[in-house]
Amino acid sequence: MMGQLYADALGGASAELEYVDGTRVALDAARWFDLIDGDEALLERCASPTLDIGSGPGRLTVELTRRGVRALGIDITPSAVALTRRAGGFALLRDVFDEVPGGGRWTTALLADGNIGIGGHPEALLRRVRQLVRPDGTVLAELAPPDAKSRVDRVRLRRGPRVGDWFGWATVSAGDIRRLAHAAGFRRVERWTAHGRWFAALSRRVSST
Amino acid sequence: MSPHCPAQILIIAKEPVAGRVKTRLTPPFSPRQAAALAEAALRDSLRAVSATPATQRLLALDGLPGGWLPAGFVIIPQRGTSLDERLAAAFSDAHRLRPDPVVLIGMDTPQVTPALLGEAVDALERHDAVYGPAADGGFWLLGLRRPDPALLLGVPMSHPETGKLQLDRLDRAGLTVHLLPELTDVDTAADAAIVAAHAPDSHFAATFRALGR
Repeated sequence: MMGQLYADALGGASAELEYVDGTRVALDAARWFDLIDGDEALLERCASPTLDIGSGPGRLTVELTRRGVRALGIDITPSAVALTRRAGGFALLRDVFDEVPGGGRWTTALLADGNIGIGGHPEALLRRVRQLVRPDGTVLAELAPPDAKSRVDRVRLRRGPRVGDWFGWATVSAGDIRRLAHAAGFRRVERWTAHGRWFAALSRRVSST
Repeated sequence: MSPHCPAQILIIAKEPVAGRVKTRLTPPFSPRQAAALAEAALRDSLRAVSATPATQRLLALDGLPGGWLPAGFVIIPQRGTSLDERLAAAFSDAHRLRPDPVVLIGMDTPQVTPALLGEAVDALERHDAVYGPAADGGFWLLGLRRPDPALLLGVPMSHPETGKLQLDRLDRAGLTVHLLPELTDVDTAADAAIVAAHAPDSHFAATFRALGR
């Protein structure tokens, strides 16, 4: 889906994200390599074992491993998986909707950096991720600020005249996460913000663990 | 492009969230009931589109998809504020993704059938536009062989004369227009009763009956 242009961007090439109305924004791939402000607010809540969904080059997977939290990254781009392994993390080339090892046994599942947008249908994605975590497990999701509008975009990657395929990508506002999480079968939703980033912890159990 | 299904079909819709949709049905309905009716109407519309041959099926959605969305739809966001802007943008965006003629409907005519939609799709083989008038003076369907924002921008969309003004606009652009039968679109509770009676097997009618109406 992301294809070669995404792999090139991970290798340092410039790339843009193009919207269906023609708007283009630079793809900030460098952001996915080194820890950034707000990451700590996610990392400190991860417990072994943690599944990092859409792990990219493995910034969070690698840091968790370094801290002694058992973590596995999954991504659909081979070069992203290779980068994670090279940096000392465990990663598999896997689509979250396909068979994922340890299904139903993960303590934490991470949807960082807007990865709640994967597939362009966040309710379907959250239902799927709910199946992957333990009954008392937690899904940690990064969200758009509450004043942002939840939406599904059709986007593609572009580098000059080269374009990838169109794919769906969702944006979920922090203001809509409670409704969405309940529709996806989660009972408990906790929201917080750190360094201008918005997050939510979703769990099936009402009682805090 | 197959000669038998020359167009794509686009639904423009709002996520059915209580308090955000079908507010003209409250009262007599509660916001939650109005949202249930909106979701039922959306399901019916999506089902009719799914059952109609088309080169692509799209949903121009304000909000997020839910369990009501069947497989096979490409979602695009709505752009613009006024309805004429949002319709023009939806036509343009669909056409940019796939340069086929575009048939557009809303989510307020759950009685729409694959036969009606198929007639609209086929009409764009021989006509520049296809138009379905609504009983309230607006329209329930608009199809354009070559979408152009100038065919929509500036047409006042919630006006007793909307349909006439939109048709005049198509006419002045020199387009040939195929007319479809008039349908009632659901705006008020009285409309809801009429539409539920016309389409007794729809999700919409079932929801309407379940609400004790």
